Amino acid sequence: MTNINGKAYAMNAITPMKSWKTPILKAFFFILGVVKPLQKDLKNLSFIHFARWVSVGRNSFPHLSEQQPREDLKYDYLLFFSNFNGTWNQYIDAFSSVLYKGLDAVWIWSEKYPGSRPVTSFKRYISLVQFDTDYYYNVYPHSATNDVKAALRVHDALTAFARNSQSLSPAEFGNAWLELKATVAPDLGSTGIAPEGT
Amino acid sequence: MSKIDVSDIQGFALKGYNFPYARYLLLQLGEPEAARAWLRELLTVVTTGERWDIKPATTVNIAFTHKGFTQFDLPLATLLSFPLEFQQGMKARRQILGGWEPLATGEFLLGYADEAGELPVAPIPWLLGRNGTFMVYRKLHQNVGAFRNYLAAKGAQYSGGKEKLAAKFVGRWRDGTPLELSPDQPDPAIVANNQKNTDFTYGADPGGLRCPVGAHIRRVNPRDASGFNGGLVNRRRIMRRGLPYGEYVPEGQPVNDRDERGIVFMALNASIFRQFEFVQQQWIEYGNDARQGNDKDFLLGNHGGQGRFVIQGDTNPENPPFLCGSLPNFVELRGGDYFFIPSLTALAMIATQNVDPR
Amino acid sequence: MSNVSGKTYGLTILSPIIEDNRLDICHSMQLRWYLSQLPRDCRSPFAQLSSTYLARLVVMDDVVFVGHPAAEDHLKSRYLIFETNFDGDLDTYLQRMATETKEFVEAVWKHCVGFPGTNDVGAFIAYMKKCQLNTTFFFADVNDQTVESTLTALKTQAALAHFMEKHEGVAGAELQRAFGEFYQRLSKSPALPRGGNQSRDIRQEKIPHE
Repeated sequence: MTNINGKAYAMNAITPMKSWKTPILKAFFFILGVVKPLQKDLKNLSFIHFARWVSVGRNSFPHLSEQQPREDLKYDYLLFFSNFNGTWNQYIDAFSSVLYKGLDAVWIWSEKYPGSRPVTSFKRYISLVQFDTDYYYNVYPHSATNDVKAALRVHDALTAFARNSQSLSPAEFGNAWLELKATVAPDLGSTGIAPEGT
Repeated sequence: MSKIDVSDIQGFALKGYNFPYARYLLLQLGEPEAARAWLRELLTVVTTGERWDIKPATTVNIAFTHKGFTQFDLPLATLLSFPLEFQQGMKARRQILGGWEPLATGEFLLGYADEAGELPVAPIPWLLGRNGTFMVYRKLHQNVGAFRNYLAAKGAQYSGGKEKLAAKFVGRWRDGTPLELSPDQPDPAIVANNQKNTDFTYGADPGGLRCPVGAHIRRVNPRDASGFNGGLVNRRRIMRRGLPYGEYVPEGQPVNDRDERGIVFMALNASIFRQFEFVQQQWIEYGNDARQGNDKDFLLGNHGGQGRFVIQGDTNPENPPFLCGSLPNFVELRGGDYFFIPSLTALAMIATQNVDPR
Repeated sequence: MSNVSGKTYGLTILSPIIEDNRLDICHSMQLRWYLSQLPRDCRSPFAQLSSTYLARLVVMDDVVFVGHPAAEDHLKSRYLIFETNFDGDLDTYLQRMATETKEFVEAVWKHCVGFPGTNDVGAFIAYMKKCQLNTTFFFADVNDQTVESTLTALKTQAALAHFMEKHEGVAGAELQRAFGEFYQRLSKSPALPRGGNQSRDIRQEKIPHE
């Protein structure tokens, strides 16, 4: 299944937008970049490594040679690329349950977007506008973004510990070790292969 | 809040009966006319969800697998309108559930019905599905000996003591007291109060110091621990039924794990795929949503002698951080299937061959 | 700059694919075939392009028709989408593509209109930038690391968990000595392979320093 590599799923989606709506969408994203609530929710949901929205104007498809026919499109297009953890259903369910306001604000400008609630019609729309990945590379296939963040915390804690415990007596070392263990204990989940469909 | 017609819903779907014993009969249906006649008779004694003035001595309920429904000569369009996972049955779905291989054949009863924000996939005609529910039935053999040995070995190392260690695995003390409400010892007063015993959140314990982040009850019902006002959790609930089976061996006496002993686990839900299968696949056999990576549920996970359970703690000697590894399988699936518990109306429709799929 | 989040760059390339009716097997089909055979793990060219986190290549055949009352719209060419997330700056990445993964780049982009080859690195970079789309919004959950620091952290996490599990109940001088040895071994142990090793996928990650 080429959309999946390890714990990451590569979703691609394309939706048509009437050209006059594109600047409104871009204005929304400009606000998004400055005001952080949607970003904050995405980080808290903690199941997307990287995601992006790319708006392509009807006259902006790259044209590299006179042999290549010029595009003659009626709509602008909004491309969406996500690298997420979890199953397709789990991902869309979470968006619909939790992020529906932010998503609706982005996709409401696309033609025939039904809204992210109720979830069944939302999933049908996504199935329609999603297209599959031909090749997907993942530098850490056994690690979800949760695993990455946990590992970074553990690494920092261990580095500090190793530095500070250089010349401790065994008793002092024991105490410092207990503190280290307590600090890292929430973040020691193992990594590996994800469940099927992920 | 929908108004529910309790006289139309089978009692088993609405409440736990609290009888000391239950018998689960797994029956194979004969040819359609005989099956319908039998069902018509049974309809006169099926227990509904109506309130009792006096609790009856016995109750009777019935549920069907998809294959069972085919024996009633239901229209093909109706049979095909049931959710896919129910049509397939649990054995065909075992890859999603953790790759278990069922050891015994047999028949199992499963069925669930619930209210969701949307109408879950239901059979056509609508009346056939209404007031019915899908049930997941799993015969879970328990390796009590293996559990007691493991607990004894690790309990000797854990400075909070053996009983506290056992509580950390589950999230409740042996008597049921939630760790979250009483982290240092069991509390009979809480247990006696059914409301209190289930009414708690993890918001004050994000680090898992009271109830470990990967403890059983915290995994299968994260409550507020997932954030977002429970938005990620409220469509993943199941209602549990079930009873232990086999002979109970008191602590201290030798127990043979080859004996028949365990729990008949039943879960009721409207969508097996969205509720039970999700919890089993994502929260029991995997740990990402609990921020525990690939670590599986301590009690139910398919560990195969490997795997790890991490208990968070602090510098208090009674509550240290502690890592348990080399986990055996404490529980083994011996069989199961997916069932549908029809309403009384639906039972009558089936019994009188009155099902029109349009 | 909306292509950037912290230390991470999000590159989106849209390259028109050559349409040639005279061919038995058209370019997009050849390209798909090549991609299906390309290794996706530590043998991937992206493992070589070591600052890459997650990258994809997608042949886009056409835009989508969402149904009435939307009008039907069609592209005149197929396009190759290249979406990648990496550390550092764009020019360095493109330069490395041309010099360190030459064979891969040629094999893929030779099917695309106007591809100048990789011998003239400047021309290649200019070509890719001509195909680049500007990201309207780029989200990166972790954006203050490098691939190397991330893989090091993952290795550390697995090793430390394993050490802590095996040394439950060990204390005092013995623990201190054991830790010293562990930490030495850890700093010398090899990095996790970029892209993983899917031919040897096991249920749990192998501890690298064992």
